[in-house]
Amino acid sequence: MLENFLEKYPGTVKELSLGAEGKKVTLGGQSALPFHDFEGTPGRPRLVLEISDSAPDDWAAALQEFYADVKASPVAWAQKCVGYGAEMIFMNLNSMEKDLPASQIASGVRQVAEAIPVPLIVFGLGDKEKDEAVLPQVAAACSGLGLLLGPVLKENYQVIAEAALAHGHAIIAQVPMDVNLAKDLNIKLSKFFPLERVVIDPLTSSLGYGLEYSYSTKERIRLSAVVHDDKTLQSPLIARVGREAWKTKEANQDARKGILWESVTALNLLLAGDDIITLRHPESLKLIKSLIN
Amino acid sequence: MILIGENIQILSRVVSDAISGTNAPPLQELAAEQAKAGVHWLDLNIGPARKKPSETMSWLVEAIQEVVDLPLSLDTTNPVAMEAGLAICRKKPLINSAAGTQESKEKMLPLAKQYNANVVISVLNDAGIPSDAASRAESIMETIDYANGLGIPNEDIWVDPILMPVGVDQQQILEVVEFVRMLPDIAPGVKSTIGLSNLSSGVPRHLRHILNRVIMVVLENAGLYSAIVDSFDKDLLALNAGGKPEILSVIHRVMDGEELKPADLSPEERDYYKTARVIMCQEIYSPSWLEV
Repeated sequence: MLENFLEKYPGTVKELSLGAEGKKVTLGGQSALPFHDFEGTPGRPRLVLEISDSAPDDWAAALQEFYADVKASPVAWAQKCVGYGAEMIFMNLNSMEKDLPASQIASGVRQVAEAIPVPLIVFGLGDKEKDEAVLPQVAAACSGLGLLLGPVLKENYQVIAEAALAHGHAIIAQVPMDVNLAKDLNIKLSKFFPLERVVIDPLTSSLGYGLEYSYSTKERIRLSAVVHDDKTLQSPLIARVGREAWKTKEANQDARKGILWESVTALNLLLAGDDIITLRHPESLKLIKSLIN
Repeated sequence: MILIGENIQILSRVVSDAISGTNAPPLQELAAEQAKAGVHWLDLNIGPARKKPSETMSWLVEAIQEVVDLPLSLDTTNPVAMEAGLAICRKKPLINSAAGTQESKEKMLPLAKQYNANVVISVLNDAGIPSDAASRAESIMETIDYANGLGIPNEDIWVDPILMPVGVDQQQILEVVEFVRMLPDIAPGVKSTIGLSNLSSGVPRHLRHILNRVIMVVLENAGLYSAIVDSFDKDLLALNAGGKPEILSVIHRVMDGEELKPADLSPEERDYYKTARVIMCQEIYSPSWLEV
């Protein structure tokens, strides 16, 4: 009886499997809108914790304190985050800011990838030249480990995506909060790169600092994918909440505010359609998990 | 529909150099070429004309009237320049444009009555550009009412719904189409116009034409009276004259909600099909929309 009132949508978000053999995590595959599990195959958002590949000096004080014992050791840090329930680890390559040799950065990534029982997401600086120089080397050094590599921009997608393809990785295609540009980058990628191995990052703004714009863009992308069956936008979405939430003045006032800021931003974006949420504090992860499960 | 040639406009290097150098021949040539191409009006866009507004406009109008006999649309935000041009137009001119802002009502609109000119009135008001059909209707009704109060009849008013660039707000296209359809009911006797090129602003240059052509066909179907166009877009003028019936058919079928099989279409028809789907918001716009 209830079926008469349910919408059946034509589109499905492409399913993507990350990680090496034995450590795989899947994203996507949903044919329903966020949390509308009654209308189709549901999505399963993944909560992820962020680390850096060298001790970060630009993380909020509360976080620096919290991770004091591990922040200089990416392997230990990653393992600790897995212990906190992270479904994947998101590693910021901030050592790229110190201009360490690419080969050194790449072998560091490999060490972390091999040390954890979950997939690794690797993220550069968003600097089109530096990322182009480093990310392909990371791809090669981690061949077969099923990384999610980013960001890939419209200025450097050719080189980075080719390397990702050659070594079995997936990529994060990043565009500045615009559905038309997201579509365009995916169309360009589709010429040589399988769209099933693309995750879209249309940029994330935190609560009070532009969350609405991020929300609208992601919502539009997800609506086109599921309701309008737009084949060029059926990629999972990623929200890098950690960095955005913890750079606000509220988060830097005290840890409790930071956790709430991070959690509220994340919960909103889960409603918009994000499939991967990156967080910096495990308390946020715990809070969100308890609310969505 | 009636076509207003846009090619004499201040952003063109050739035009701005000729105007600042008071060098008439290149402008006269441009005017003659546009007339030959078959447009019905010529738009003279001198921009804000901060330096010597009256002299610039009068000089230009005189130079153009020397060589062509078409009615003129005077395009400037400067009421002083506008007045200078209106005073010497041989044929009943078009003020391009007035709006629903307080300033325009005070400075630009009264010129239409004073010089017995046609006037473009846009939906812009002091709150900005209305976002949907209903708010456009509300805005334009208020301004038309005001204009009527000044003694300007509906027949002399050309309503401009304002099209945003496709990459800024694609959904607005459908609002504009709906608004144009409702005009005869809400303001009987008014004419209408639109700057086609605004839609394709920001689109890769070589792809702008096809977007402009399709929106023209769609708006003509909705009842649009005129459009400001590139006089030298031969295909646009051909489409307007009823040529290329296969292309018109493709666009109309998309407007009717039909899904065509791209394989059954010629390459040219396929491009118009894809473009029509974007214009009718059946496909989200991207700069590579023709490559999908």
